[in-house]
Amino acid sequence: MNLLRTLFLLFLSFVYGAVSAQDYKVSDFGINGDGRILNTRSIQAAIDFLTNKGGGTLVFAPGNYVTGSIYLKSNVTLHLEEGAHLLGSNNPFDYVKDSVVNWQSMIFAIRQENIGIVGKGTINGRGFQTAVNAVENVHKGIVQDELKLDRLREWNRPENIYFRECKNVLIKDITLRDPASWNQTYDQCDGLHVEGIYVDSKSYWNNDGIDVVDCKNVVIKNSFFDVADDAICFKSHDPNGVCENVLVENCTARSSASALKFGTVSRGGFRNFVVRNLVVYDTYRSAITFAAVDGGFVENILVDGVRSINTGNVIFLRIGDRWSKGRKPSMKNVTIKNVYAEVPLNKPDLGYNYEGPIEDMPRNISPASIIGLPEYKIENVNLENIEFVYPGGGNPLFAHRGLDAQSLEGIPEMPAAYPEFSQFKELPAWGLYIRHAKDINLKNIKFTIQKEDYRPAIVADDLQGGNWQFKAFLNDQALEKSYHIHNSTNVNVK
Amino acid sequence: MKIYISAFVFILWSIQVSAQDFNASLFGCKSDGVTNNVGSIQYAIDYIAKKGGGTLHFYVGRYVTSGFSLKSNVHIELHEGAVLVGSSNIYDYQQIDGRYTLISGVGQQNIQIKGLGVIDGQSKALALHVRSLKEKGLLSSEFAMDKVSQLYFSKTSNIAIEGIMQINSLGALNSFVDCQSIKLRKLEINSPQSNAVVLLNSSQVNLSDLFFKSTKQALVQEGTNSNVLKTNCLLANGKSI
Amino acid sequence: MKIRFALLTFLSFILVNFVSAKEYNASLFGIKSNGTTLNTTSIQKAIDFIHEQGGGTLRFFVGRYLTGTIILKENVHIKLEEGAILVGSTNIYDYNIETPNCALVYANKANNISIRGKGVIDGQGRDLAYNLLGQIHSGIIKDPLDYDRPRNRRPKAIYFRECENVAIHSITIKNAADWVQVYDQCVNTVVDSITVDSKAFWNNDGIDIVDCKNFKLLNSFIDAADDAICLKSHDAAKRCENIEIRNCVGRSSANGIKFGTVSAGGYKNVRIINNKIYDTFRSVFTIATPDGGIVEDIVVDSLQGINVGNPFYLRIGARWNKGREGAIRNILIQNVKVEVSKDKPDVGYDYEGPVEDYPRNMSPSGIVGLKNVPIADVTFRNIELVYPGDANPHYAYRGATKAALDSIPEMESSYPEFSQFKELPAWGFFVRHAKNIKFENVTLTLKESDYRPAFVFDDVQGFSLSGVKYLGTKTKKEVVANNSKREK
Repeated sequence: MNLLRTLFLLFLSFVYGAVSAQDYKVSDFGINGDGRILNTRSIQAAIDFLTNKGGGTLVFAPGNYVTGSIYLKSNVTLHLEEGAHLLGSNNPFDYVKDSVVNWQSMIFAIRQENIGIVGKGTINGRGFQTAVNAVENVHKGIVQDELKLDRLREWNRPENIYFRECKNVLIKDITLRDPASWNQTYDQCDGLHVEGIYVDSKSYWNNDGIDVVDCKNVVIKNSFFDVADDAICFKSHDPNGVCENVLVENCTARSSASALKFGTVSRGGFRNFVVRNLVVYDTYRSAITFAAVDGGFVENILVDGVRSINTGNVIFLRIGDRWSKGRKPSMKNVTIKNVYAEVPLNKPDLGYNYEGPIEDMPRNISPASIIGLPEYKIENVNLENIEFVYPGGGNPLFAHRGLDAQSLEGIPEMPAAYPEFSQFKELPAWGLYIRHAKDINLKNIKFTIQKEDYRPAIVADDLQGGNWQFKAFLNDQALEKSYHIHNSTNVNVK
Repeated sequence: MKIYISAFVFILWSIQVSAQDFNASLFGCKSDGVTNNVGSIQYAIDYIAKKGGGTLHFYVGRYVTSGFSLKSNVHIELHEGAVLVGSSNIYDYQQIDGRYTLISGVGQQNIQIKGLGVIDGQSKALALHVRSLKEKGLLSSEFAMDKVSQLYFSKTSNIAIEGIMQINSLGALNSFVDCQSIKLRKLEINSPQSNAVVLLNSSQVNLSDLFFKSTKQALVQEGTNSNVLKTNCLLANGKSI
Repeated sequence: MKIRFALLTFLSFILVNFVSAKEYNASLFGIKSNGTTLNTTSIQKAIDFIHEQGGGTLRFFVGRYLTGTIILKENVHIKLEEGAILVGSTNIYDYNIETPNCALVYANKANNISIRGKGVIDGQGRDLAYNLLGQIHSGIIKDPLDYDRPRNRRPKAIYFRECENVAIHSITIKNAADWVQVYDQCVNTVVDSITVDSKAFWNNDGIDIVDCKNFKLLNSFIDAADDAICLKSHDAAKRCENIEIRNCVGRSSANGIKFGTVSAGGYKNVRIINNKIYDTFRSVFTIATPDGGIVEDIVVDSLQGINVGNPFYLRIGARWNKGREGAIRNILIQNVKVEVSKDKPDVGYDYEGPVEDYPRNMSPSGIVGLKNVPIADVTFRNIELVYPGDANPHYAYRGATKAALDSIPEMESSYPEFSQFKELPAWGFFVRHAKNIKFENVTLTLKESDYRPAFVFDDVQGFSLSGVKYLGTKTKKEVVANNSKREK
């Protein structure tokens, strides 16, 4: 791990060195902050001017700058001063669907270097109205879209930021709000530094907080995410791509989906991650979820320091076989430690805009889960110093999953299903459920329920190897032998 | 046989003519004089072109826009009171062949802009912007105001501009480069800073019933132009050109 | 006249006392001030409740109150305290669109009603109108679209019909999707000290007074995309009667103060005193009666027009008159100063007036009747008009010979507008089909030369000019009379 750290430090100095050059005021170019004039082309002209001059910073003074799609170019930084708002046009026709990425966005950068968006200003996609207008265009018959789930496909709605194949990207201090699709995608970038950003986005479906796709050398730190869809999301779209050398540090996340997620699209893989000091709250699905469902790998992941409050699920690790196309998914060497987590009885994201959908009923509260497939096992997962607090109260009359062989083996494998902690409906444990895994080690783990539950704390099925040191409680009362091991070998319980 | 052929030709022709009509509002154009409609207008033109052609109708109101490109068989009708207002920011104009254009057509066929409406280039505000950019060194000092074109066509044939009023352009109002079969009819031109009609290597040009209320030069001919016909084209002092 | 005035004053005094009934806070009915909760049903419940209790005032304190159509009932008063904004929903289905004249605040046959206070009614008309347009293009609502905009179902901010004892006081009204406020066949209405700011969409008339009796519009500021202050008569059996418009300032991308266009019944006894019109695209004062309406006993006193397109246009037409003859008679216009702008007076306002009616040089004031229906007994006294001139006869030309005058079309059925004839042969006044027209102490100033005379009288039986001065003109014949009789 020390190696990783040096790598990061080296990389940090690299990014900071890149930002320099002359400042230009937007007003010099006639870019207008009155909140009405469309500035798409004048902002583009300013960026082009700066990049042709060898670079510089375009400074947005306080104001409301309306724009459609613009392209950030090499050596240009957009500086949004506090009170400067870059506002997305509400006319869907003001956005470009870029031919390289096949997606719409307000700010694109394709194959550029040393670029940045900094400052205490705001990028506000105003996506709700744009999305509504786009739906209207479909109903008028002038735009084609299948309207899946009565909304346009996410690539036909603009994001705030979409950078692809860029080197040395700095995103610092800005606030991101309300795109019509995901907030920000960094796709196949090398050297991405995100620091001190504030993302508040519950304006429309698919409002992910940040999506990092097949990127190398990534830092996300001191940032805050309160979003309708996944908050901090790593993806791998390219079977030959990989997300690697990533540090996520001192971040806070709130989501009506999952807080820290790998996937869902996971074709290439994810490796060498350090996640430190993550706070998750009011989150509908998982605090931490890693999915390898499309033939990709997950390896060498360290999560150290998580406080997860009022969140529907703590950990969900999953190997699936969805779009693998013959490639073999894998997940190994994952350490998650120093976690305190409280799971609520009620819906954790109640009252937020675009609440997560109620589904998968009936089931009692779901446990943390590590679930591979018979042919693809999750390997070498270490859970250390974790305290889980569950509401308990699992009622077998509402939903029931027994511990007999037939019941356990009757849990469907669902290899091709969308991976979600709730996908199996009722699971036989209230604290941790393990299936199709190798070497799952528990060290100093405490499980607590607040009401009696008909299930044990832990159930393992098809687990080959593991040293378990854990305690389970019903409030203050220790629960003895609150586990069940089925069809497994070499599991030592202390 | 001849009858059959001409009937066939007629059918082809009527298919083309029967093209559809589209209101600007269908594409979200706003007539408020504030909203920049370029995204909607360009989408409308591309959409109509894909449908095989038709007419985009603008009714009374001020439609602010950045530069956009016309496509073959797409006609624009500016009904009385409709004003296409060019943005007052030079960067909003499309750069084509070293010019900054409001409305352009390159390599197209069968283009019409008709009606009783107006195209307003907002030359005063635009000139201010250009000057300030030059002073700050953000635009080359060689940038010439007359490179800003209201209507610019190149390698385009069968063009008709009829009935409208063209006002306040920074540079040439109507430029034709390597174009054929051009009809300008019943235009009112009120644009003191710019040339009205500029021809470069174009042919079959029919100018009729034009009134040049104010203009730098009414007609500028460069290169080799052929078959340029002028009928009842008057300057403000009453003289014919 | 004096007795009537005293009566009106007494009535408005009574109105003030009506308000003193019981007061109810909006929050009592669960009405939310957050700007996002749709309050339509709770506000309606409040109105109905207060109405059933015998009347009272519903008070809104600072906040944004989102709502669709609410229907005012007898003896219910709305008080919008400073900072309270009644915000119109942008969803067209939140309005009573199946009712003709749908509106945000609607009343029909409800007596003793008022809206008062320093708060605001904001119709959000632009988004509302474009959302309606979207529903039309999606095929859900059927509408023929006039000029590419919805013909029907555009909500007004206020529509009161057949109400007695109405007061609108101090409020600001913004951004309607259609006419801003309409008082239709109301009796005893006082609109005082209000502000209208509405350039949100087409047809944003500032205020429409339709077939009302005893109406006062006082001390108000009106800035509107369409006609600022507008009197109309929709019903041939009704008319606007006893109307006073005093101490108002108007701005419009159409006309400043207008009678018409729809003028079925007519207008009697209208006093327009001490008003100011600026940055206005068309006429400062215009009377149009194309639909058979009788216009009589009108006084315009102390009127100023600054940066406007035209001073006066009085017109009888025959459009939807169904055989009835319109009339304009007994009009006194005095103490007026108007400066006509060479440039477009309303440049830069949202929904600017449309450039049309070209080619024409600057139009004169017009007094245009019909061949056998002359405009009668009009006196202009103490008038100063400044025109820009600079007319180019090569651009547009209309001579003042008999033949040239005879060639001016009557256009009796077309929309009456000062520019409707395109080029006219005078720069100051064009008077046609009229009788007994007096000009007393009138100064006409021309800024640049004009090829036309100041006055053209064509078929005017009895006109007089006394104390008429021309400034800025070269000595030439400034009065041309054709088939007319001049009186000393």
